[in-house]
Amino acid sequence: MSPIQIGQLLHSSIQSFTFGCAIPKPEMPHFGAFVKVPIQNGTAHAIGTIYNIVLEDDDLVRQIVGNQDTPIEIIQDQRQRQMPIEVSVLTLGYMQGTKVRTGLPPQPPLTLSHIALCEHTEIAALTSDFNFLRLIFQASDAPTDELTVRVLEQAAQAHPNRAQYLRTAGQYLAQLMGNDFQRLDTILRRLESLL
Amino acid sequence: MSINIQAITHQIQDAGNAIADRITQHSKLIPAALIQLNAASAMQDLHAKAEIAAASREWSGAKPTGENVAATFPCPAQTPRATVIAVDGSQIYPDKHSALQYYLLNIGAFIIQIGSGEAPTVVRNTVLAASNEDVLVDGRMVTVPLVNLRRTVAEMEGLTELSLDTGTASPHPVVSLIDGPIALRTQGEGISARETGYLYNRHLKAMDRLADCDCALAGYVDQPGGSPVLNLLWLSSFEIDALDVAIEAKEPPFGGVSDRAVFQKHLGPGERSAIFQTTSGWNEPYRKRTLQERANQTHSIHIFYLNVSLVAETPVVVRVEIPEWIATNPEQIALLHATLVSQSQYTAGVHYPYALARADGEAVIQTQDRTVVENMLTRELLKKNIVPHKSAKLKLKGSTRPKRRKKRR
Amino acid sequence: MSDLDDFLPRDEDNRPIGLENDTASEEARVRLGVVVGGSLSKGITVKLDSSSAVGQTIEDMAVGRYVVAQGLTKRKFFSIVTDIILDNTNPAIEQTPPDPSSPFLADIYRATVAYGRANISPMLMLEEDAKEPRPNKTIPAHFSPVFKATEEDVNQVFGEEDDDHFYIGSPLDMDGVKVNLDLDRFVERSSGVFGKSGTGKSFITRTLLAAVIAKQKASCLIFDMHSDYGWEITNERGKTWKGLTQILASNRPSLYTLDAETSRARNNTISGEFQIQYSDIEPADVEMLSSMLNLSDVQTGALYYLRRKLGKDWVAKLLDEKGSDEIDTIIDEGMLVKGTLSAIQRKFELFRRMDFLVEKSSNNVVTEIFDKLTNGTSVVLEFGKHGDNLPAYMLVANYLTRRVHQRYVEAKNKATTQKGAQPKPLMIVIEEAHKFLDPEIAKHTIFGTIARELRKYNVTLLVVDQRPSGIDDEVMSQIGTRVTALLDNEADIRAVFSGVSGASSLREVLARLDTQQQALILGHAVPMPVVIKTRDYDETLYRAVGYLNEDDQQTAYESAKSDFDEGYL
Repeated sequence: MSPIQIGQLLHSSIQSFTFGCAIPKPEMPHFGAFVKVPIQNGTAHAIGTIYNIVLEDDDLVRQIVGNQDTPIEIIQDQRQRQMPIEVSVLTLGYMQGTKVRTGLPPQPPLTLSHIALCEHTEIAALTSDFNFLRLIFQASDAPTDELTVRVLEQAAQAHPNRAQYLRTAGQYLAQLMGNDFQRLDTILRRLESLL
Repeated sequence: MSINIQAITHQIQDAGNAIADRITQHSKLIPAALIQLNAASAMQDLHAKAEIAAASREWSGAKPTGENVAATFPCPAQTPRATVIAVDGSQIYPDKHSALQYYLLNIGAFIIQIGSGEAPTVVRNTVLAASNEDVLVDGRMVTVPLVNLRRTVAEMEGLTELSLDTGTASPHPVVSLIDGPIALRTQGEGISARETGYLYNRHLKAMDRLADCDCALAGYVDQPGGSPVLNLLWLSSFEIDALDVAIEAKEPPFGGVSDRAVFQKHLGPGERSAIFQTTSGWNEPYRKRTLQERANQTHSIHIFYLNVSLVAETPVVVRVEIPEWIATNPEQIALLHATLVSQSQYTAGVHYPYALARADGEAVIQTQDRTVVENMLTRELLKKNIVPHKSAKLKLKGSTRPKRRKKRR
Repeated sequence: MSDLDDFLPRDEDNRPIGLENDTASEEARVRLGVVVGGSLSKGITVKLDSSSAVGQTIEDMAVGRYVVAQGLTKRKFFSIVTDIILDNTNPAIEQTPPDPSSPFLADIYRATVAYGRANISPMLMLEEDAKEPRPNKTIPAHFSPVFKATEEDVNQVFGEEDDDHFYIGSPLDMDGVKVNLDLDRFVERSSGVFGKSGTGKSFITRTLLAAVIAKQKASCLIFDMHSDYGWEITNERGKTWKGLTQILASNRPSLYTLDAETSRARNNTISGEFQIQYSDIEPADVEMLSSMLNLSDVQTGALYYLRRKLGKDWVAKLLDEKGSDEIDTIIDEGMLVKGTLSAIQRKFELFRRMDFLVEKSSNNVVTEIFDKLTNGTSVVLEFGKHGDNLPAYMLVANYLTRRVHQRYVEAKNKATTQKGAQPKPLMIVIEEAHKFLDPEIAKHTIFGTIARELRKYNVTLLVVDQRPSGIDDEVMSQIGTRVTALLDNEADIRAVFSGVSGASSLREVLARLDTQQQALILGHAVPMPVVIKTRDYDETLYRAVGYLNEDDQQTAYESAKSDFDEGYL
């Protein structure tokens, strides 16, 4: 099965990359999803998680917004318009062959590279230890706490014992952010609600 | 900015004065035109005058049809259920400075079923033309006017295909809209007769098929220039035996005031004008094309003016172009009238049919699209060990232009 | 995939550091935590692992339990748990503890932000491949894993049970694991059994004595104040336990009594009645009782004068109600004031109630007892009705010990100078030891002397006491092996640990012993301090020291008979 492609790269750096995609796709990328993109001439893949999705507007949308009784056909049309949405990804690791490593990749991906959703096995490999959480916590412009919860939710689904995975993740978080008890508590309560 | 602002300061002032004068002058002439319109509407020999002038071939203007020239028609109260298909096209013109000899046509279409509640669909058709027969005409690089013609034909053909597909599937009438004038217009653009004939033929064939299936075909001309109706009014102000003076006059009538300016004062919210037939030379092939199955009606281009605004203070007058077989069908006229007015109400402050705006959005080619296409082409050439060279001029142009700074997060 | 439960540092192969070797046996061990800090002098801090069962690691920990820190250089550090602490990485959690209805959070905090710590005291170090553990001179490195001690570990430390090593109990919660006391070392120096009353001191003492006597490590002279050792004892519910003279078949101690009447009433088999002739009492025998008799220094000094003036019968003369010329003379001569003399006479009235003091005794019990002791036969001296008479107990203990010790000194000197046979080692057992070893008198009483001179003359003490703080420090420091049941008085606890290095960490252990059948043993006869559940004083023990019950006797008889019948004998 070939991976599901969801967009093409707009710009990138070692720490993050942004890709564009169209809205009307069933696999519409979502916050916290794991995606991969080829690097180094396709010999490796950078793996990351989606931390922001920006829908740009344009004059047409603004003009429609100014009108009151917009027919349903037009609302639907605007929703499915081929307007590029910008999806920002935080790089968490990279993969050479089947070997997945946490950390930043040696090179950023190139413009127009295809972005695909990660397979379960890839997610499982990347998240088998929790070092990737450090990269999330170091990210300056990502909504760290929310992202952590969503990423762990995704990751837990890739592991056989979901509850145990979340519990162990919680323990790691407690060690990572034990000095910020209020934040930790909030995140852990969110994880608990996923059980 | 590289304009010498200092140097043009005085020129700007002069220009401002001139434009202001002209507007003031026009505003004085518009009432005169309106008076003449009312006068003409009462003339028994108006048709005769127009026929004479048209026959002279020196005169181009609007010939009255069965409707009174000063008549105004309110927008039908009900917007009928219909399928609106709008088509627009754009292009990348060939660049004689570039080693990449190609042009590209992008036809966008938008199909909305009014009143259905269903999501509209969009269709895009992009054609990259780079073969010898496409880009070389008589051994020379294809010209911009020719690309425009080819695009217009492609638009009409695209519209036809979609209209036929949808028309057979839909129980509701089909409104087929083109952004801009319907007709091909070639005059002195150095395009060979053979090429012209070929394109006209395709264009007319497409229109034939649209006629066959009763699609309400119209061209929508936003902010129309030209003054065919004023030309008629000018003509009408002469006695029938003194028409020569009017026909031979080189000055534009009413000091260059446009039909639009006059009808903005004349048409109330949502109202349309009477229908006129154009007598321009470019209409000839359409006038000559008779449709036997439609009682020998032709594709001859007719026009009417339409105020798509429903706000009295801000009239927005556009020109709607239609072939004769529509012009003579009151139901189709009513359908077009209602559809175009209602379509123009969805965007606040801007009155423009939504379907056409969307077709335009689908068709438009951005600068970065062009970059992508050319990068891909270049890569393809490099695979064949060919290094495409830019002309020296293009290289220099690029190097001195300020780069657009991209905002990075 | 890595073990998600574990965030210890890992090596290249993703295995927790410190577990590289000996995988099979490591797996069988129960891991408790890792070493995170500490010092040799103050003990090691262990961060406890979060257990799969909630709170188990912490709540299963017990002060006094054995753990083994597996050093990173393959050394094992045999240690004892001295304290258990609840700690956290962020005090904020104390202000806002997780909601009990939210087990997920509590679970996570319990494993991370809130955790258990244990202080352990490394006692012995076992080098790889070494059989014998060595005293601890270093500590395990950072992040060494700590395990529950296994049976194998304990056996390695306390050795196998044999003629020299006697099984006296099991480490806490390690039933079936034997802690064996090195008997040679036990008798080599003076020892002590301490504990509040009612904590089973006498059972422990009886067990120790049975072992020493049965394995012929020393002759014991037991001043059995409350008839606890010699013959059967019965508790308030009627349960009985056999005494030493009943269970020790081959080295049966001789039982002497000060109260023949009572002893006979108990059907005790007594070897003789212990009596003291007034004429045999020396002032030094009485001086020991000075505090109890409230004798002032002047009065004490007067005793020696009276002995000189009145001769051997000085006690009898002083007690003679008719008075005598000699006494009048002493007063007349102004050597003593009348008040002093009267006071002494009044205080000597005490002796009248001691019916073992007689004008004339038929036999010489001291010599008889000495002979038995030097022959290897232990002696139990029962006090019977005098058991509650502390002056009587002290008088007798002091009297007999002084004389026996005197003869041991002579015998030892003789053996040394004339290359004769060494006298059999002697262990003198005294109860209420602090009365004898009070700092005021310890310096000049025989017991202080014995304690201080170590085993120079093959005589050592086994002191049994509930108030070790009352014992002279210097004497206490000479107590080689200390067996301590529960003590709760801070001064007593301090006294037990005096002169023991690294003792501070053991205090908590001692203060938390159960009131019954638990004891901390430290010192000369054990390689390291150990808290034990003392072995039951029962049939199994009786047999271990040679007791034959009726069935056994029958079997032995039949066996001997058949040997005889077949002509072997």
